[in-house]
Amino acid sequence: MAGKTETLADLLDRDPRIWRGRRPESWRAPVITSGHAALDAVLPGGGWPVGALTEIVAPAQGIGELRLLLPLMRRVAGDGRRLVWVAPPFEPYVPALVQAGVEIGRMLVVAVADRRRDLGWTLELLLRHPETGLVLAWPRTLPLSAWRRLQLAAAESGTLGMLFSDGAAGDTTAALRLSLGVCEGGLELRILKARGGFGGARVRLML
Amino acid sequence: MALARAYHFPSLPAEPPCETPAAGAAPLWLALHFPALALEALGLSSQEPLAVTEAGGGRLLVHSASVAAGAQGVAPGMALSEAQALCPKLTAVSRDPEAERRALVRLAERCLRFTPWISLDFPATLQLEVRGSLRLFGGPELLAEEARQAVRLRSRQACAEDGHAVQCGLAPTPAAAWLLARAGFPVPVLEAEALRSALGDLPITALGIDDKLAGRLARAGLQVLRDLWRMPRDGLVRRYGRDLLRRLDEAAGSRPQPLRQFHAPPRFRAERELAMETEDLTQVFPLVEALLAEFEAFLRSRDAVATGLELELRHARAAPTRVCLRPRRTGREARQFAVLLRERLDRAALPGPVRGLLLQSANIQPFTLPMADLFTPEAASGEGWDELLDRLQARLGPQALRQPALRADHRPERTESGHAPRSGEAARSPRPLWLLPRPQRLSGRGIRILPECERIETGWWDDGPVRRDYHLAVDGAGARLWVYRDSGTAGPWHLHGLFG
Repeated sequence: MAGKTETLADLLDRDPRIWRGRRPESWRAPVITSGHAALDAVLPGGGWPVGALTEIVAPAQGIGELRLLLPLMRRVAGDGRRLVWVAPPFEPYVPALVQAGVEIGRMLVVAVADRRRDLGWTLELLLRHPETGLVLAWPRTLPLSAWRRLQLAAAESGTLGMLFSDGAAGDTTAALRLSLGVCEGGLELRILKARGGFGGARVRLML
Repeated sequence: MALARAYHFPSLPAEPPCETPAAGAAPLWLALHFPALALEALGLSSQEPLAVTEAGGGRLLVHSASVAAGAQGVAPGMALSEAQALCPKLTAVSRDPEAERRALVRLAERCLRFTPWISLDFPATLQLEVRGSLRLFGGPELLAEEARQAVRLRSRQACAEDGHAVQCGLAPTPAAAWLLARAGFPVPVLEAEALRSALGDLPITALGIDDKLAGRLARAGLQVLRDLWRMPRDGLVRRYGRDLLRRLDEAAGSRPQPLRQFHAPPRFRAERELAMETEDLTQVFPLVEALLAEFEAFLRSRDAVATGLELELRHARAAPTRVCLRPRRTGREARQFAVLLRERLDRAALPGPVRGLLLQSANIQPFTLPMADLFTPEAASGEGWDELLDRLQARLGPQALRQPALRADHRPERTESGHAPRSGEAARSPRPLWLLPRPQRLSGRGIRILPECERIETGWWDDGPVRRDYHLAVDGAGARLWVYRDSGTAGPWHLHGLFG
């Protein structure tokens, strides 16, 4: 047959979904900088994955889980996309957000009374909407099938979904999974799983 | 499957011009006067001793009295204190002009079958221009009687004794018809030439002039309208003012009186009955969609949009299930309403099988093009943000969505509201990203309270004074807390926020 012969590497390069081991340069999925240089250095692609779900396993509320995301919130709201809080455990306090420089004009807080029935539906609707930039959600439990649906919805619209969990559900299909821990003067992050990279990296952030 | 509709839609409510109807033939006005409208509009029974009051000259005056109160001597125009002296059991209710107006509009809608030209310009009165309808209804007496029947009942369910009191007057000028109706004059006057003789015996006070002028006229020996017509016109103007002569001329028809035409607000109403009762909403929904399609066609043909609609599911042995939609954005697309209705119906608990549907909407407005926003590109296809919010709200409930904003108040729990922040208003001291909706008594293990302190002392001018010392604290799990206790006390600590 005439023409150039395709090498195996070319074939593999054609589909970014195929994981190629420790070759971060082959990962071309879009990311958005986390605003923390030390964290960007260990995240595959150098930032939070866009159009994907990130699961954040936090042992408690109030240890710095929101401060970690403030640069992202500033960026998304500043770009004019919507910032949505779904079923937060407490009220997001607006003066503190304004103090931190987050544009609150395009922020929405959604309370979900019947989580078992409505939470998955609400998240899917919001993640799929093209105007949504970032969804912060606190689902206590979410079945694995729901994670898959939400992952697809986020991929369709290019939305970031940050889902906080207690890690009790075990493995999920999130593109990025990390756990938070308290350390002296800041937060210790451990990457449990990362699409396009290896888990296990640890990083300390002074927030 | 039976289909019934009733569209009342003469035109969209535009600002009606002042005009007189029927350019060719001389108009004939049927005035339907409701002497007890103030009482009836409030839904009060005439059998109780009641008086509707109105402020006048710094006192409360009786505007109208029920039959029972009237029997004891209470009369309109009387001071309330005087009325209470006459009738000790009298209940006084203040007037509700808005309710009266609504009642009058409802009555006007019923009268649209007699003539399209109706005016509400006279107090507690409908003016119907009926010259062109006389033949159809078999003459003035029969027409007046039929109109009286049409407006007598307060509502379809009400029993006969619960009806509107109504008095008719028929005359070539609206003012004369009104005078005749108020006087309870049953004889119709058809020709303008006959007006003066028909009205001549009415007392001058019927013109609605003020008491002072009425007193002066009475002292001059002028009692009835005929007395005024005998006087020289310029003398009347010089002595009693131009207003009296104007009223007189309007009644006699020598001076035209322009009226504003009543336009019935547009309204859609369509019903369907199901072939058989069903509890299965998947069988009901295609019919709902058919009704919505009809609604959309209705709106499109009038270049209008709806700001809301109501769907009623009728049951055989239970009260109907009502679903009201009030979307954020006006619309007319059946698809958009269908999505929201489906969301709501999925949640509705039906008390029994559905046997019929009713879709109606009174909130219809002329369509205006939405203002394009330069800086927020709307999603090119698919639903917009407002529709998304409507869907969320339809399913999660009206309280579920919140768009936070800042308000200038130093009390942390009051800092949020629906107002936009003023510049530099955000507090300078650290504020927690999480706020507890209500401060909680602090409890837990290993909580360390840090010495830095911020005093918030404010709100002494209203009902929520606050005098608190706020501290940072760290709990056993490493969470950073925002805690306070009342200033200068060793009282209990309260948890108010977390530094997320």
